Amino acid sequence: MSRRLRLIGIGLSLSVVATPRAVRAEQPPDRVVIDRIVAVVGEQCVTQSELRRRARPQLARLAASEEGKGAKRAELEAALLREKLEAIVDERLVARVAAEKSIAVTGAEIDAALDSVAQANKLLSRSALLEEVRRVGVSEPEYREELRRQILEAKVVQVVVVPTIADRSALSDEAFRARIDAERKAFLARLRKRRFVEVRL
Amino acid sequence: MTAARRTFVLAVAGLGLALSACASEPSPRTPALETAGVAQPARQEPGRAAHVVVCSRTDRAAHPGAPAGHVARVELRGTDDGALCMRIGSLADTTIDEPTVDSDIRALFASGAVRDVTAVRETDSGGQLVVAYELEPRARLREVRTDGVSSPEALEAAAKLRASKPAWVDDQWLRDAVIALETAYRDSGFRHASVTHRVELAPEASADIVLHAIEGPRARVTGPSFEGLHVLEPRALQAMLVTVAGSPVSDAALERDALVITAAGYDRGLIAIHVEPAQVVESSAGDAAAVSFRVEEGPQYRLGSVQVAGSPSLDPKESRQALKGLTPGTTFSRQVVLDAITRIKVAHALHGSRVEVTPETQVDAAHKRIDVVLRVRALL
Repeated sequence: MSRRLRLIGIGLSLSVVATPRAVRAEQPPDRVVIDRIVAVVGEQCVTQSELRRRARPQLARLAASEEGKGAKRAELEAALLREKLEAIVDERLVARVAAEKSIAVTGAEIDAALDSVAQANKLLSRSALLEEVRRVGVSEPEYREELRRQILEAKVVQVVVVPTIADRSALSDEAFRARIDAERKAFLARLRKRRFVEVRL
Repeated sequence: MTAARRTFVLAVAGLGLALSACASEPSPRTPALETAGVAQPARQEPGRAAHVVVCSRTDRAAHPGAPAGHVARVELRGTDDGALCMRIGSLADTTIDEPTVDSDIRALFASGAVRDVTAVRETDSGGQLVVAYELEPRARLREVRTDGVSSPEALEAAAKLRASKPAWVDDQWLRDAVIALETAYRDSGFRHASVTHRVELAPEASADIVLHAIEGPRARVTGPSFEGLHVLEPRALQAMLVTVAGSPVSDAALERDALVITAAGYDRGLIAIHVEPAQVVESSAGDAAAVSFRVEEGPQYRLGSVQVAGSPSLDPKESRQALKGLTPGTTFSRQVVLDAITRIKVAHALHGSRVEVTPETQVDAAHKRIDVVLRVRALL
């Protein structure tokens, strides 16, 4: 009886040790993940490289901060990436609606947005703004693309969400903005119900 | 200075958000593996793939002096489908290019054949650099079955779904299928029907999808009734609606009927009419529903002056005929204006010319009167 028990015990300890060894034996020690899928939105996927590229300015800011140098850096970075990924998922959902409704953004609209952002930041010119953007590791095409996405969402909200607000004239500007924000969230929640969304972070 | 400057620039990078008046807090978090009810073929541990396809390889024997850091082999793991190699751009005898790897992952995913892709680099036992795409294949979709579906409308929807079934068990298709079946139920009176799905694994890495429905009772309309009518007549409205006594309660039909009531109001001078979404009160058994429409008619307007303006003109007789029914002092009707526009276009067409007619209205709220100008413009 006691021998049997001991054998089972040995067998158990063997299996516990043997499984990881077997896996390790089949995985080369220098196996490095280059890239992978971190989210699926309908028929599209979001890759890890895209996520990190899009989050580059925020990651750089975190790295430069006191918090980013502390023990919580990994935790903060994970939270930051998660938040960015959720934003990318929303963008994909909105882009689909835009395509269905033939809503697009022109180059002139992006130029106007660049000028507007430059002016809002008291910069003398568009090129000065782009220089500042480059300094945080965002190229001009990346920044223009970011603006394109934001303008596209604003247009979709204007076409799809704003008309659902019936009593606009009775609302103050502040109340109207709050209402748009609430309706936008409800709109995104409805889109998420209709599309398959899976986050794999 | 540098730190301050960096913070400032980042604010610029994020400032585009301010352009969208609505962007502020992050959206609700997506639960990881949100719809992980889908059965898939057993997931292979990374690095333990049973099937390997070599898409590109360098002959080291022929090129012994290949530079270090160059890829010797590009592989797909977890599949024996060599056709997938056609979708990727990574090649042996080059260095690893991250944008190409990113593009390869998207292309493999877009094939529909795989649910997940991880790209890894490693050194094989011969000391050579390998790029491998570890794939989690989707099950091939063998059959779509239904369970608990008996209403003709839902059976018809299910037949359409079978006709459009994809080759693989696709998560988005599954979601669309459930929504399509639920919509078919909602539109045919099954207000409480619920639809779920399950995936049953079948031989040879295939699977069947089963759409399971709990139909519940079909609610039929009693009524409909109207609240707030002063000008519009209930009997005349009932004749225009598709929601009639005995018909199944349908959300789509109720929306359509609310628009029909609004349009009827416009034709009776009620240009500020507001129809609230229909109220539906179900019986305790759920098989009957009292439907009522609450209407705020607002003031009734009459037609003021009527003018035709613009370059092309008709002779007086043709003009009179075209404007038949647009008599000042009578109740304003949008339909009568639209009919007049059609007659003006037809009259010009008989003269061989094409015109565009734009109605312009001036509302006199104090006297409840609408003046109409029909502006005619020749089209080239």
